[in-house]
Amino acid sequence: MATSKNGLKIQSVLKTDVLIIGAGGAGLRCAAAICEQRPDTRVVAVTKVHSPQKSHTSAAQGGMAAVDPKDPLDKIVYHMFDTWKGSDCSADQNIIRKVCESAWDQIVWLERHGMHFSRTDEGRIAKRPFGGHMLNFGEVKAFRACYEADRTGKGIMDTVWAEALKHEVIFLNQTVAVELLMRNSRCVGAVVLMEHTGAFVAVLAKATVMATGGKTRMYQVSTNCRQNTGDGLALVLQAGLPVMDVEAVQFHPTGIVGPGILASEALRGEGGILRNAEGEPFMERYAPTAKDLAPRDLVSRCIMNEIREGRGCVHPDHGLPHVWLDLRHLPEHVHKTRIQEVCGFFRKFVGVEPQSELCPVTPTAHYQMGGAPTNEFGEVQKDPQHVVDGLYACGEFAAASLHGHNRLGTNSLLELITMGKVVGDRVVEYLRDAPEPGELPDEAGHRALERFSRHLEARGTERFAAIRDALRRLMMDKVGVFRDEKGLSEAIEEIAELKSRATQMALSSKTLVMNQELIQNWELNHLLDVSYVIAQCALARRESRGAHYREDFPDRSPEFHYHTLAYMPEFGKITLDQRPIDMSIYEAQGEHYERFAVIERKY
Amino acid sequence: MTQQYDIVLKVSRYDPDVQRAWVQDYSLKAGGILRFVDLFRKINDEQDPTLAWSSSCEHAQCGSCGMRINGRPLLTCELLVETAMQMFNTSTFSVAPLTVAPVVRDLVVDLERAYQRIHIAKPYIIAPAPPPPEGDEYRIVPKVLDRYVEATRCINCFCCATACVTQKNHLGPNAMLVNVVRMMDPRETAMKQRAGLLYGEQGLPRCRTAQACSFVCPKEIDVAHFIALAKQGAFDPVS
Amino acid sequence: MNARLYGVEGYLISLLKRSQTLSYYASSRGWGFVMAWAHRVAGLLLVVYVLFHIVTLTGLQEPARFSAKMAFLDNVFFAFLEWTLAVPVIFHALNGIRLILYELFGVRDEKRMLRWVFALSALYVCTLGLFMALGNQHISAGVFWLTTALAALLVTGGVCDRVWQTQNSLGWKLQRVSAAFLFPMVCGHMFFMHLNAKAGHDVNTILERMSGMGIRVIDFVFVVVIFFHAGFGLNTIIGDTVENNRLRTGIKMASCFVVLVFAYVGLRLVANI
Ligand SMILES: Cc1cc2nc3c(=O)[nH]c(=O)nc-3n(C[C@H](O)[C@H](O)[C@H](O)COP(=O)(O)OP(=O)(O)OC[C@H]3O[C@@H](n4cnc5c(N)ncnc54)[C@H](O)[C@@H]3O)c2cc1C
Ligand code: HEM
Ligand code: HEM
Ligand code: SF4
Ligand code: F3S
Ligand code: FES
Repeated sequence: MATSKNGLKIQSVLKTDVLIIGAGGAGLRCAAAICEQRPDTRVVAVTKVHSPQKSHTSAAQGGMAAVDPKDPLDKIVYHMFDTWKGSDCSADQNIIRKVCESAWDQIVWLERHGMHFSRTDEGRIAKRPFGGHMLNFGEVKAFRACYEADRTGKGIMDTVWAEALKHEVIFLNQTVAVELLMRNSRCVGAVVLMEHTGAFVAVLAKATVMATGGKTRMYQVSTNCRQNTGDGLALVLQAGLPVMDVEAVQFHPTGIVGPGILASEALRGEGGILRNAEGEPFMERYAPTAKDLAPRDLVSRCIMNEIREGRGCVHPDHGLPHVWLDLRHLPEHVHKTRIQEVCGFFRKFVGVEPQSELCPVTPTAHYQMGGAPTNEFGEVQKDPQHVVDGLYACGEFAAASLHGHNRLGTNSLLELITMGKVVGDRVVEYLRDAPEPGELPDEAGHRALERFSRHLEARGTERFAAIRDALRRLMMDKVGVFRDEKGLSEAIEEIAELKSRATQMALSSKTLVMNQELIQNWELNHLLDVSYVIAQCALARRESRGAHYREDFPDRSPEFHYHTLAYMPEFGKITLDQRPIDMSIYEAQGEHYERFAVIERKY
Repeated sequence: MTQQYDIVLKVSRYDPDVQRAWVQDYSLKAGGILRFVDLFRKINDEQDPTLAWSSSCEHAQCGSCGMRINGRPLLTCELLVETAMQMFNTSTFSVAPLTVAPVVRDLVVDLERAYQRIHIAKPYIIAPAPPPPEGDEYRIVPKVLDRYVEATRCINCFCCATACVTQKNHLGPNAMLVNVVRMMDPRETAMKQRAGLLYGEQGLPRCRTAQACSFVCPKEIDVAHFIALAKQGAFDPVS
Repeated sequence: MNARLYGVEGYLISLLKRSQTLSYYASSRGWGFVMAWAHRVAGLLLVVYVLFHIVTLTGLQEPARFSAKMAFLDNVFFAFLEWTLAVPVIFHALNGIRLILYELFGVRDEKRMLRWVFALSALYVCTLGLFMALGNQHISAGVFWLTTALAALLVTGGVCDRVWQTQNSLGWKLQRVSAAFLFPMVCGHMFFMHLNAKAGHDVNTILERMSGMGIRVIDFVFVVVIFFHAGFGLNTIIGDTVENNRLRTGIKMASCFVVLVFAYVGLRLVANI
């Protein structure tokens, strides 16, 4: 067993059938799927937070898209088209088909397992419109987002968590995965650090599922939770595996000025209107049909444009530029029942009463479309042709890719649940004759322990906060909503510099038990690594596509009609590769296939 | 930022390595719309990186950041400095961990232990009612849903359990909500088992109707009302 | 409860708020929390008083000694103590009713309820004080106790009807039912005993009254109900506060034993006089 210079070592070994890294919505949907089909499977799920229920899925508000087969107007093909169009023609069509077709089944699964969906008067699951979701290939808005008031994510999280609990999944809470265990290019588990006891434990598993969720804490204004520091991507990169499309970072148009807390698109779904400083409902100008419900990347850019052209406001307390979201005209019962939670945010965090006042909003980093590349079964790829044996990924962490370069609202929750289930099914199949993970590989834990001892032994006067803040500002300014060659090149250099500064942060306390400072420093390295890759990929993509907007190349270019793959086994040693975009619906030449060509994206 | 305030935080600390507990004072300047989690971060950044505290979403949506501020259990990610100054009429605040489980370090408690109670209360549907046809959903009309929908908003922050009069032999108000919700949920049929949990020794008989749960609940759920509904037999099959 | 305060109860609340501990808990956990503890403390005081009361009443079997004791107690200081006893009695009684209304009758207007508890408590304590000072009111014991007992049965019936169908534990139900019965009985008892100087303190008056069969039946039931209520109350407090299983069972059994002994003494007294 590995022991580092200063005595850190793996204290125990845990054997299990399945290891789930990241007990969020995706991870636990997968766990439930496995246990339902194979009840005696031993499943261990680790999460960084106090309890799986605290995972960030709980913060999702608006809804989960699914076409109800009983709906006389809506059709699955419209949903597929919207997703394709929304992705700026860079999603994979096999995934689009798979996810959209199984969407309703998953809604029903959730409903049968106890989720408290909002209901129509007849007692059916209610649906609301959401950005980019339209009927008849983009004609009028569709009622497609199933929701639980404005706490849909919480409903999903509670349901899958409770289901996992029912099946006696073993949870390791407040535990961080610190290294993937590989043997002969098969994944056999991971090394984890249990924060409560300070013990490093090797978890050996026949199959490992990664579902570590979002990863956009490197931006100054972000809706992501404190734990979303890109650990998953960093672990994958360190294991020599690629990441895909990480340059595609979605900025949500309506973050609450200040803490960046999300004011859900549901507010606009229910009829909220964006206004500039002059009170003009400016979205009418940019997107005459979809107006305020145009896709997020577009709305974010419009808001930034208004601000740049001097039609924005500046918040007196936060000093941040913003525009207004107008909810005053919505009926009382909408305020009271459908958007109660979010309106509370305005009241609490900026002291605004949405029923009578305008709410200040500004774009905020929200979602990363890219992630670990997987095939349509959620198997992690080491290159476009080969998968890693025993390693799976789903949820926001993975890129299958349903979202391409831009995600539609409500499609993420849908992806978690459908792909979580798909991975679960695949794991069950794999377990049928999967070999035992075997003994602990010799070099197991080397890398992780080495890193931790470096942190423990670090000397110097660099301050964590200074580096973190510099990075977050830098990413917002130069790798944010608008990007260009110069900014990106500067960003890359600055990140490299920050990375070297980060080796000189001495710790105040060297304990391993619940040492927040140690974990923070460890996380900061991930933020730096991932930021570096994002900037590099953004630089390489000399076009604008979806959320990736290059001012120097404002148009989409057929030249870049592929997914970006990036490898970086060591900081700075980056290699880029490509993965073709799946066009199977178009190529099958079935009904409506022409809609799935590389089309113009206009709203 | 419009105005800066001088704030003193008297933080309960605990070091598990040497099993020592003490109270440490931190003085800091802060704008009125900073939240308490921002203050902790500020302390970490500027004064003392060893202070451990917990939070996750910082949206008031996950329930990781519950603490006792001047004795009142609340979510520190939604408590603005100004609000706190108005609420307690002071700029000195005691900051202490919740009391529902042992402290791990400083302000971090072992919520996993606290969650045992929720596990006992079984948050899932134990025995679902006969399902509707394939691909169809159960029908739950708003009138039925509205009776318990408020209770489904609980985020298990354990503020109520910390505030409650009965700290021992009690599953706690939020665990009661879990059962109340499922008893009112038309999809659940395991009423006997639920009633056993709800009316059992560690359930309702331990509630003194102190209503501290409703008073502190950051989600403004009238917990005591739901507990009283159960005592009242509002959803017993007989009545 | 920090809206504008008015009336007696408003004044009382503002007085209470001056206490640091009370306002600390009232502001951090709400008035309900304070009331719950006050209810508990008052209940415990009553238990102590009832035990003491039974001990003194056993003196009735030797009227001369009883008179001597009463003479000892017959001064301003003890009169004042008796009067202050009205505070825990009426507070516990009214708050108990508030709890029952909240838990079983769906009365959720808490602010108003708390006001009523304070206002009526003040009214009761003042009137009682007034009568004690006057010391010259008369009413037929038979009529008084008949109406009180009827009222008690009526209230009990109402609560019974509400609580019986529910799935709450038997003890829990009986605690509410007994409380309903005790509400008119205890309040009435205390009141009656101070209508005039003799009613509660003069041996002959007492003995004469107690020789009536009706009163004896009423007293008999009164003792049973009070001791059930006190015993179960103690049981609840122990259950709420003692974590260790063995210790809890031990203390519960001990308290049960004490309560049973005193109940037996009380009943024997009613039977033998
Ligand atoms: C405010 C907000 C609102 C949103 N609203 C919507 C919406 O309305 N509709 C929609 O479709 N989508 C929405 N989204 C997006 C969606 O919620 C997320 O993409 C989704 O919840 C991610 O789920 P997940 O299961 O992949 O990850 P998460 O739920 O974030 O779970 C990740 C898990 O991994 C764990 N983890 C992370 N790193 C490690 C590590 N190193 N070791 C061990 N464990 C680790 C975490 O602790 C956590 O348990 C929203 C997102 C946000 C932030
Ligand atoms: C006068 C009418 C009375 C009423 C209406 C009344 C009402 C109640 C009620 C409703 C409770 C239950 C409280 C709860 O479970 O939270 C209770 C508890 C209790 N009562 Fe009474 N009671 C009365 C008289 C008495 C008397 C005379 C005694 C003492 C001999 C007494 C002692 C107790 C005790 C010890 C408790 C337990 C308190 C606790 O659990 O905190 N009560 N009472
Ligand atoms: C201080 C005022 C009180 C006085 C002067 C007083 C006096 C008396 C007297 C004279 C009796 C004999 C029976 C009778 O005459 O009917 C009696 C019985 C009784 N009293 Fe009181 N009482 C007082 C307060 C209380 C209170 C507050 C309680 C309840 C908590 C109470 C409980 C009882 C009981 C249970 C009996 C019946 C005892 C028995 O017969 O064994 N008394 N009281
Ligand atoms: S009921 Fe309220 S206070 Fe209690 S755990 Fe739930 S949200 Fe927190
Ligand atoms: S605070 Fe506790 S006593 Fe009952 S009403 Fe709430 S659970
Ligand atoms: S951090 Fe999630 S509720 Fe405060």
